[in-house]
Amino acid sequence: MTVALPREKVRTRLSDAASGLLYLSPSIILFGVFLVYPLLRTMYLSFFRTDTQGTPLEFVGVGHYSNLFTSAAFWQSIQATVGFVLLTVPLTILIALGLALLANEKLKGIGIFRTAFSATMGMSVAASSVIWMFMYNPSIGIFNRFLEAIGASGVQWLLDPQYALLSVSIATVWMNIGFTFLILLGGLQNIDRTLYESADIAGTSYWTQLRAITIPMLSPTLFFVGIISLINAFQTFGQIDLLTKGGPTNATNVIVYAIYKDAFINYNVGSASAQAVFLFIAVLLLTWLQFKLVERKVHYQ
Amino acid sequence: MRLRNIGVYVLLVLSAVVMLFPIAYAFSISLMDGKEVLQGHLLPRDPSFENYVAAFERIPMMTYLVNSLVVALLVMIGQVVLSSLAAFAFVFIDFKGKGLIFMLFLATMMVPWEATMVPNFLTIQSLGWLNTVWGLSVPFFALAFGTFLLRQQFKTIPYEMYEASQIAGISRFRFFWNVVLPVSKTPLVTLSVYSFLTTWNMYLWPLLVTNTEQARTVQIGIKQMQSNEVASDWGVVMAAVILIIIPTLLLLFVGQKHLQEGLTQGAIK
Amino acid sequence: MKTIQLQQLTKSFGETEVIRGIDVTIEAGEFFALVGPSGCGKSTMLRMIAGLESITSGTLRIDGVAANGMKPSERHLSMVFQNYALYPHMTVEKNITFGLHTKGLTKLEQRERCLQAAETLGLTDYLKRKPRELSGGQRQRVALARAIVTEAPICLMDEPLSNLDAKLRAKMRSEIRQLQRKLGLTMIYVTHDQVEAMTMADRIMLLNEGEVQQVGKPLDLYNKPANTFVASFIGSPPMNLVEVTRQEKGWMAADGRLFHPNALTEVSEATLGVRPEQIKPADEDVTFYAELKNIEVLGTETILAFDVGGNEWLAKWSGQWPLTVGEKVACYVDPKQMSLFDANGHRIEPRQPKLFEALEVFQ
Repeated sequence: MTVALPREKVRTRLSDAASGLLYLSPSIILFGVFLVYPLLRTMYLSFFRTDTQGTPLEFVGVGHYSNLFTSAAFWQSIQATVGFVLLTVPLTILIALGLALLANEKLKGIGIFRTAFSATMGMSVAASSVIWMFMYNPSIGIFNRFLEAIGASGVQWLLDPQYALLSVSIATVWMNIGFTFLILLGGLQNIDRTLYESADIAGTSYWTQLRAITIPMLSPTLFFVGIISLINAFQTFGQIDLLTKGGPTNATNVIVYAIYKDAFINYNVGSASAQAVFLFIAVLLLTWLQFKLVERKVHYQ
Repeated sequence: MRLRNIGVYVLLVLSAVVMLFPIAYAFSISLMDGKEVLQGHLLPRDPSFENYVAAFERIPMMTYLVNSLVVALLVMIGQVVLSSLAAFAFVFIDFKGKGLIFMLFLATMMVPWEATMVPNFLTIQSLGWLNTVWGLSVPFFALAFGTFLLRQQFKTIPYEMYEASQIAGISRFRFFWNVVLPVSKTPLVTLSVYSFLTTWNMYLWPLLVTNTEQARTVQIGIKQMQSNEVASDWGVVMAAVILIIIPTLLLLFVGQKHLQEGLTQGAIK
Repeated sequence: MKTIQLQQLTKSFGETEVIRGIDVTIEAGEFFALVGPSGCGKSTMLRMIAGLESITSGTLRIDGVAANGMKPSERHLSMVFQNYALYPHMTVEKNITFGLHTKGLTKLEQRERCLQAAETLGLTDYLKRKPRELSGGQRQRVALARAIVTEAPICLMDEPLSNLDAKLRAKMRSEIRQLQRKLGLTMIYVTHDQVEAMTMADRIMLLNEGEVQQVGKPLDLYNKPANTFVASFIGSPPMNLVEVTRQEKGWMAADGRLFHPNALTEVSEATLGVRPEQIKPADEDVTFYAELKNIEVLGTETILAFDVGGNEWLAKWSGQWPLTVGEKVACYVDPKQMSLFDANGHRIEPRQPKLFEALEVFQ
């Protein structure tokens, strides 16, 4: 009898593993086909010269990479990407945090404001970009109308290399506030109210509470929002395609747009793949770096 | 204290005005005729819905809307089904290597989707899925974020409930279907809203895999329209913009609370 | 009605052994309580019997058949969990019947059984409610109904009463006991509360750190604790203990008090145990004098606290005694009611009359 037992046990364990994999298999298969395979394929293609259909023709080693690192256009796109990230991420989080703090007040009708502040989460990049394009319109857009009204001269918002990146960034900040606001508000509402009550009893001011309770308790959420925003900013495409097409003079040619142009307009799949690998590594490194730097300072409950 | 509240209200109203201005402005423009738009008015003198009619007449708006709806619903269903199945396995089934597989799932979140788009495009092309709803939806069915979100929720279900069902002889799938899913309605709604919003608003992928009027989604439709009609008729473009944001704004207003709670939970725990 | 046999049952989590070679047979229709402090392995053992936890080694037999590899549902048993594990989104009726389809019952039969179980547990009026609309006691009854509705011959319960208040707990204790008798269930009942075990069980198994300390009828554990652990776990307040050494005149505690237990032993160092209720006010013979440190008058009884050989001892006298702290009272303990444990804590059997006494005289 006892001899037969281990076999029984093996049978149940196997079936656990099998059914576990069965439940996971749809996800695993799709991740395999649409994430792991293309990622590896991208890495592979980055070492080849290809035809327009992405069929590898000739092994070029690190040729695409060395071309990139010596190409002014590539550095221009890195510069645009970094500039874009720096212009959008901190500002989005700061504004969203301010709005979340306001919307976390216990006041009548606060629900309306919460909805208003999160509205841009329901707005697609395409729709938002079209609206901003109109607002930036040099002759009939609201911005230049306003400038003219106060006697200043109008600006070529999207056509002037000096302003284009800034203009796209401002539009992007507006687009991203909704999502960021929603998460930060959720984080604020998760903070134990009794912390504030005891601080109130101690008679501390709003700003002291903000510094001593709110920000430390919100830090895990801020950390999450920071990572997500950073990754999203690196992946920006829609507003560039609609508002500037990477121009003027490549001032807004961020990396994803550069990849898109290389792959689908210039049909230079190898070079596009090399840039995609670069993007992947950059995002990976940044995420890791952010974990390393911020994690220690984040206050987890 | 009263004074402080008034101050907060003032700030709230000002912020709301700034945040909502572009949307309201677009709506206002959509009610103007071409001449008025060029005059640069803020509000229409003689509001009319003619631009909306024109939006449907000049471009196949209805086709775009239906395409977007079908794709968004497909992705929503796909993501909810796949994520909940995977999350169930992660929480309720014990097997070797589970931890490792979960780490790999999480790692997929680190891969910028754009880094994979070229081979993905080629895959969809070789499957003959260009200009189909399958090409637009299937690549997005597996979602690590959704799996993670639901796993957090499923973990709060007392494990004894699963054990009780084992003793009663209830099959694993029946437990999943009759117990786990019904008690997890809130996060499932959250995930659904999230899926629908992000899919409806997707831009780059539909741009790559659709090139016919019949297959395009609203986002690409609006791009086409904007690049074709800009000079002539901003009013019609804005009408189209308002049309395509209405479904998602409505969904957001209804699901905002769910979304906020669900996303925060996914963020922190 | 089914027997359950555990043969050298062992459970390890990685390197740590949490259940060490347990042998016991639980008879059909028996109310068997598994008792011990938290972490002693009693729940693990129950879960091994249920099939929720794999068996590392040894054999589990249900009705004589090796059951190690059986699925929980193949073991024909029911289980009540500490937190009840009710399905929150289902009505009471659905909670009770969910799973009955696997037994091949028609909808009608399911409903009949459900009504019967509900009737037995007084839940008839609550069938349409959800668990959250019920009180703690009612939820407990739903959990019980769910266990009996399957008509499984074996029922396992894991601390089922620990979420109830004291009053309700006492009521449910007797209800569960009656239910078990009425249905003739073989019951294995896990609890950390020795009072529950003493009042409900036919037999008790006391576990500590994965090892069986004693198996027996409640009064056996009470009267003849196998070791100092059993002695100090069973009974409320527990048995008083003191280290003693053998002297010519008897066994002496550190404070010089002498005891004369009836035990035959070669050892010179031992632990002496006396139950609080066996320390009586002395009439003629005085076993020792106690200087009172504390007195609790409880109406029907009085608890006295005093020091013996550096340990606090308690005595339980019936009635109300007007004593004061610091007072010296004379106490008497019947030597036959003193227990003696050796250096390892094992019980030393009391001296057998006549023959053995005679032998000692010759020594």
